[in-house]
Amino acid sequence: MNVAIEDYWKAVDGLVEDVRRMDQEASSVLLFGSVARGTVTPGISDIMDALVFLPAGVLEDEERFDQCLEIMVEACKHLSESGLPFHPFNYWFLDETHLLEAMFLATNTSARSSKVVFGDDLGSQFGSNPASYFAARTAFFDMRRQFHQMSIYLHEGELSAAEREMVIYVLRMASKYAPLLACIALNIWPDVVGALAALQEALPDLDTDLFLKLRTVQEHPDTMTDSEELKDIITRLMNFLEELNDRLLSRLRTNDEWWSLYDALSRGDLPARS
Amino acid sequence: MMDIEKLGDFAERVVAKVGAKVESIIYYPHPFTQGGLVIVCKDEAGDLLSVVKSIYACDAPDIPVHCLRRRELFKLSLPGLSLTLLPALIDERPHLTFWLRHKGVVLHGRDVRDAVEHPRHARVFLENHIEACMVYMRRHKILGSLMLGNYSLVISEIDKQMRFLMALALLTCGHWDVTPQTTPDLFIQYYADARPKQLWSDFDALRQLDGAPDESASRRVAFKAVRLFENFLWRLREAQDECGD
Repeated sequence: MNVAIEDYWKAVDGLVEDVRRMDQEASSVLLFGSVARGTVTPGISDIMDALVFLPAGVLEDEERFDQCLEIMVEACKHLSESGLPFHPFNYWFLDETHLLEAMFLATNTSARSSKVVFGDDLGSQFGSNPASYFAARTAFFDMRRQFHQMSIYLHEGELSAAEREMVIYVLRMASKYAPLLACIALNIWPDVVGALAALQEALPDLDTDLFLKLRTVQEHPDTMTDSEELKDIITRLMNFLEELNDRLLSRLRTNDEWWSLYDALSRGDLPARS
Repeated sequence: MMDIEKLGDFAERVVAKVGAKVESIIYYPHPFTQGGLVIVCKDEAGDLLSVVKSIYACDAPDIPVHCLRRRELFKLSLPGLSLTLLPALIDERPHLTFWLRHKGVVLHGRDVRDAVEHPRHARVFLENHIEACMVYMRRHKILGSLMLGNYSLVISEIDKQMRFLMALALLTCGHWDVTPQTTPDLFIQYYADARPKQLWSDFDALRQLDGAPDESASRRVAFKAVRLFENFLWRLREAQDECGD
């Protein structure tokens, strides 16, 4: 099926129409991801990165909750039938607006990364808890460890079709999240759009140009057919992660030093909202 | 529990290739997964990436491998990326250091288990996993399964997650030696707040109804299970100092 950017907005309109059927139960629908950013790659970008906000009281009333759930399930079915790459949206309760993922807090509150397509703008209520901030700070180490597994693709010879597919999938994920996680490890909290620029500013001497290459993988995966080129990107990314890891460890070296970050967050020393 | 003999064979292959740079290889079992390997390289091992590449060229088993320098052992006690928990949505990290220290098997080299510190605040892991459930359970396992009519999958996923959340709540009370089977009874014994215990009991009774031949009945059971799960999340989130005597 040939798809165009307009099809993505039709899908958003369809979601909003479904949400309207909740008879004022839904307070807001927040769109993020490539549709909100205006960077859709037709046929590649997926839907639906969105949060549907429900009143907290819904949970106490079986009939109301079931009705909301029913409509959201139907909305997911409608979206899945759109012919666009699809995953379900999410729902959130209004008494959870201070519990968004710290990693994506700036994204969810930034006008260039998110868009309210229905109901109230809840941005001023958005926040995260200290545990979420702390996990976001240390998530970089986990990404680095996960990426070690990519070594299995650095063998001699051509990558098989299945290997190439897996490598491209992982590199696309890295393109989306690695700059953001690297920034947050450095205690810089940008939205996903600004992550690469922030990283280049923070680490001008590291190989951040590789993320431009990764963007090509993200936006044009079909053009990535050269095994050696893919292996080169893996190697450069592994080297980048290793260098940043060593820099982080030169600043904070011990268990106590890392956990003291959480203690500070718990005392209210949270990153400033941009 | 993995086959220790096979893991030993893997350790031997690693040692044959990069033994001079490796200080220790330890297997840790885990109550909710198959466990994983911690490969500790010497601080003076030099380029870690070349060691990592050699390790993965030794036909590494399909379990998590933590390859780090001795001075990086503290990373084992830190939280991490919830994004990588899919599809199982089980986080090894909260129990990892406990099972490594108390039940780990040294496959090669020095026993460095005593050098591994436990997380300073277990509550962090409970809060992180509640968030992971809000982000991933709701989207992928609840809406994603309900839209496909996979009602039994909704029930089994909620069952798995409630047990794991109870295990994390127990960890905040110092109880790490649990299994998915023993967790509910221990939770009822040691957790102070009666409400989440009641929600688990209600769910436990409800899941006996799973598998009804009537689709609309299965759907009703799944919807009710979701509501119980959401209330369970809310209750655990709001709880403070809930460890009984």
